[in-house]
Amino acid sequence: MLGNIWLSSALIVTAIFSAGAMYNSYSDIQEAKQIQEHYTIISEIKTLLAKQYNKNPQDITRDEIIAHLPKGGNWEKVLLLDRNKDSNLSNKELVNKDGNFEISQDEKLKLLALKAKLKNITDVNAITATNNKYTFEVGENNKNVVSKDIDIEKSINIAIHSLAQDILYTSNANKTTALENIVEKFTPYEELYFDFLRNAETSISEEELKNRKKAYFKSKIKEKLYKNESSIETRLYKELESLL
Amino acid sequence: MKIIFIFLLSVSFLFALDLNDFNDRQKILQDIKKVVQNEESIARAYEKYILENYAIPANINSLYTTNYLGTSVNFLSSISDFASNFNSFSLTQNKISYSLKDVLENDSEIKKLYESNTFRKRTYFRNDEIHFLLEDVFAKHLYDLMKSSNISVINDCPIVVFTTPVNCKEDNHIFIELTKKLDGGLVVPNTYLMSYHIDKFKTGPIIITDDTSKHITESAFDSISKGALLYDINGVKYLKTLDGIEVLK
Repeated sequence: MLGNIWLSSALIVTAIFSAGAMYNSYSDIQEAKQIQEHYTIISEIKTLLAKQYNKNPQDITRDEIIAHLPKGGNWEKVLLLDRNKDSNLSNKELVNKDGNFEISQDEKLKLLALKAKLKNITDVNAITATNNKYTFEVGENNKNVVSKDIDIEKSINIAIHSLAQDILYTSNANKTTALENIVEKFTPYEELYFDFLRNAETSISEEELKNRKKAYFKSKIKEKLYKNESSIETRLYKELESLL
Repeated sequence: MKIIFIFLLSVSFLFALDLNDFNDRQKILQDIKKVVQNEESIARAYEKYILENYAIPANINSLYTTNYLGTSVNFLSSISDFASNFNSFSLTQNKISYSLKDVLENDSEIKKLYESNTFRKRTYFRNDEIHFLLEDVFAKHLYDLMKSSNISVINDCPIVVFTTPVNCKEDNHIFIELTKKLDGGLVVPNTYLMSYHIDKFKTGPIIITDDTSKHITESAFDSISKGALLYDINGVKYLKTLDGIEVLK
């Protein structure tokens, strides 16, 4: 009799522990699947936004993603590490402000799941922890969707418009200062991706690279002004010909 | 009184923005996108106004009309809480005031998004203001003509005799520094630096004064594009080059 009771109790306890362990495993599998799904979703949203706004996927921020998401439907869960009620963007971020995935090295299962997902896209072994956190870029394989020429053209138009304001429509303008300030501010440094090396040079300093980019941008402004496509450009060319 | 104050304080805390909360942040970010889209609409309306009125809009109220942006109430209606989070649009020349109030400007990511070119095509941020880019070449021409002459409208030319030179328009032509005289009982153009049809402002033919010294000294001629064909009032043919106005032989 006592033996039967003991055996029954033991079986019940074993069953409870087994059920608990099974539930934990199920949860872990779900979490692992979710983090992989989240990566796919964010990656696809970034691709969409990259095409829409002509931006490099790596430059798309979390706020740009949030602005794009439809209202309602618990979309915020895609940006968070878990689905707990009190989790928010400051205490449980999965997608950081720069739009990349950020996972603590304590979250071993999630790290494993994400590395498994990315092993064919990037060298996951090269990703190391900084301040106990791993950062994974999202959308790296979509780099080439950006047309840099559009951004450069836009920067030239903005620079010419600003030059008109500061030189043509400002009395006693200092043309040299105005030109230097505007070129400094609107040169699209990121979009000018060539190395700017001259004959026999193998490398140049960051400062020299920046100066050469500014000089190149000035030459593009001069080219555009030379075309005389509007009276503003015609007048600006006359004012700046010797300075550009 | 105290109870009302406490009640109002509680309500304000209840509805205070929490930019770490996804829903609040999404609402604000979508509002910012709409504000930028409205700024783009203002830029397009500004250009349309110049083309239709030969004038620079005096202020934003000039654009809050049926032909342009509609009423301000309708224009702002798609933004959930405009008054609390954004400054009213204020138009000065070809730029509008900065829209974010401090509550949003203090969030560096939101500030960065608003000031970026992500949602912008016809506008850009500079010196705490939003500037417009004109796209239409004739709009650019009119804007430059008005700004360089220090006027805000190109009026119809007077139909009476006048001797003080003005920039004006008549019969689809623009006259620069026109005066009029009486000739055989009719009021006719007397002197002007140049005159052109509005469709021919870029390539010509442009009629210019026969006073060749003015071809060199008058800055109004700097606006003519290179390659434009010019005639003086006696029919002598000229070409605009980068060096100035050259007579064709």
